[in-house]
Amino acid sequence: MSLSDEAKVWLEATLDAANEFSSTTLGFDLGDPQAIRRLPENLTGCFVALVGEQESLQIGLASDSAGCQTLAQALFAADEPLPDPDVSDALGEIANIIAGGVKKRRVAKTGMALGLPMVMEGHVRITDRQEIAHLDVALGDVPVRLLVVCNREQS
Amino acid sequence: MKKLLIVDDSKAMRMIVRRALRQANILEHSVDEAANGEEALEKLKAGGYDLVLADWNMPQMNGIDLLKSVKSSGISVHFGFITSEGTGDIRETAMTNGAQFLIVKPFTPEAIFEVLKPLGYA
Repeated sequence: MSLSDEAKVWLEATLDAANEFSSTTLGFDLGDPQAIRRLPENLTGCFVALVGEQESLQIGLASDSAGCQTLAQALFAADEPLPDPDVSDALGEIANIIAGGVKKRRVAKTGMALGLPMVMEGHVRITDRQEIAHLDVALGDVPVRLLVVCNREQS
Repeated sequence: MKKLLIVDDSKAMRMIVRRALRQANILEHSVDEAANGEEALEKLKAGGYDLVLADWNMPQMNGIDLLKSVKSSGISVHFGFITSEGTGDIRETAMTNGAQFLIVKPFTPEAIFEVLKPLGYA
């Protein structure tokens, strides 16, 4: 099933916000993930909700476990592997910053509030009333999947 | 030496703010941390802090409720937000309630320097 125009717009805003996060916080622009490695079906990631009176959606990012560890170490400026709670914390903060960037970019959607981060493991299942838009990018050496889940009937 | 309090529920973000303060050459201050507004308010009531750098969205007590509690408690401290909430209504709410500044994530060390220098921290 093809993506709605609204889902595409949300995904474009997510890509733009992710690029801003990458260049500002990590110091490099988004790249092509094909040059790194293919992401498996089961991923670890984090979603942050954007909730409004008229509509709500989830903005997320995910990678394989090695990718999540690398991202977390980059954020913490750590040389050693980090424990799972710190990896979750880092993923949550990245998702939070990207979701905030999406909210800022779609300022016409007034009154939407950011939720708290929620970590996921596995793959995302949606109902037939929802649609999911995704795009694979590279954050440095890490392949990352950007995700937008929104309600189809509201799109 | 002035005393700064970083308030954020994310350990990663508290570390990023600390790193940004170093990179902005804001070195000669004591920096403490709190993981939410409640913990921050307890520390602030004990006294001795000059500046609060707070997140907006946090569990237990969020940033704007912390700011309101600080004001209603008569605690004298500079207060600014470092948050992913960058829309105009959020900024207006922050400033109306007495915040000195609001920095939107993602931010650079230069953004920290620019707001802290006029307040005498750089």
